[in-house]
Amino acid sequence: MCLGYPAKVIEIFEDKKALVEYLGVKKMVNIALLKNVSIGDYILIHSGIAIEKIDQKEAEEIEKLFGEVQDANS
Amino acid sequence: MRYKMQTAELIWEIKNNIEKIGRSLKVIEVCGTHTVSIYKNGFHTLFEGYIDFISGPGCPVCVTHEGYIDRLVELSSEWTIYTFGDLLKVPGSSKSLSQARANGGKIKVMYSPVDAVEHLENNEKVIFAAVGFETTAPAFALSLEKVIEKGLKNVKFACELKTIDEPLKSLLQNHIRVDGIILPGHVATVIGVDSFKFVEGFKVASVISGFEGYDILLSLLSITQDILNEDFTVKNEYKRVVKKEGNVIAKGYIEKYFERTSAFFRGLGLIPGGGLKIKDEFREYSIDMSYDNTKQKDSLCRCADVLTGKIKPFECPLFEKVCTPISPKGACMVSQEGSCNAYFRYGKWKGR
Repeated sequence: MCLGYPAKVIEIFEDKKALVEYLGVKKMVNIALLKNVSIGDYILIHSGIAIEKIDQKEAEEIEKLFGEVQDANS
Repeated sequence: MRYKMQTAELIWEIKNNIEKIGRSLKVIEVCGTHTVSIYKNGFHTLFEGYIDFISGPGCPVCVTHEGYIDRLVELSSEWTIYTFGDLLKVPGSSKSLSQARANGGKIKVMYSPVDAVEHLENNEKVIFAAVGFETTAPAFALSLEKVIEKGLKNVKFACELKTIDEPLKSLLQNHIRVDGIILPGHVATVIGVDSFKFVEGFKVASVISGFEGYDILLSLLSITQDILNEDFTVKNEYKRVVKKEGNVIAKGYIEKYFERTSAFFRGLGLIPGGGLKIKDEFREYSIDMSYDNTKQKDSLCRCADVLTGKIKPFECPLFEKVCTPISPKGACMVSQEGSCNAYFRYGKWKGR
């Protein structure tokens, strides 16, 4: 229920909307809960709404290690 | 570089810390997405004998009373009910929403309440089934704002939103003794690290966690280190998203449209301040959903005991025999994030 997914901002529109991309899928989301969203930012989406910007540096560091757990399981 | 440990090293370190502690640990997670991640990654077997994982009441579908479903079923003959898909198969005392829809009830599944409002016509009679924790509450607050902006008069909210702090306090005070808590990352994204400070009073190691396998491992490492150091301050492992103060705009939306109320939680009962209701000034957009929360359908289902860690899913007499994800008898099997459902799909229990 509290599932969220990280998506990259592709385009920003008036009326607090943005076009985002996640795993190759593009979708319009609401960005009313965020300040200063720019194209290229990664944001966390829940129920069609961006609930937070993702700290890029932190995300890149940990992302390298995500695959490891999956590999250990396979 | 914060993340310098390889996975194997991390697992070894966690087990090593538990050996130093000298006993196995009870760790509770209070978010369904964490439940799935733990079972899916096999951590319940990987740490067998070291960590006993308990799934707390953090999946809104699992804690919803059947009386709420009954009211929605009743209303669906006259109103169109917009609901998240998670709620469709939750058993009411006679029907689920899914069964009501098969019998002609007007029920639509939505992905986003904000998107749904944009497509509504002026005269449509619509009820939004507002279910969820603080992660979801801002979405319903934004929807309500859009309804007001559009001047829609026939749109109501069946508010059954929950808060995390009061049920967590009740759980720790009255129901369970645990060594560590994995705190919900996306609720924390909205309400912030500081909102969980109350956990420190229970002298329990706690950490706000992300949802990937590696996140869970980092959180377990944090819990074991904190137990060794007797450090009971709330830690934030999900720094890439969660801020100390949370999302101030989102919290503002919640405060603008909602206020605290008592709410029923399966397994915990009625929790004062455990829910959110629409503020009086916006009451024309709220629909009366009162139901008798003292009555429970007579059933062998042990969801309530599973949610408070009293039993494991496989100890329920219905589990796997008559209660499965295809034919669920209780909310914890209905929800993709319920502990019975996760246990059924990824678990390991005697006799299998």
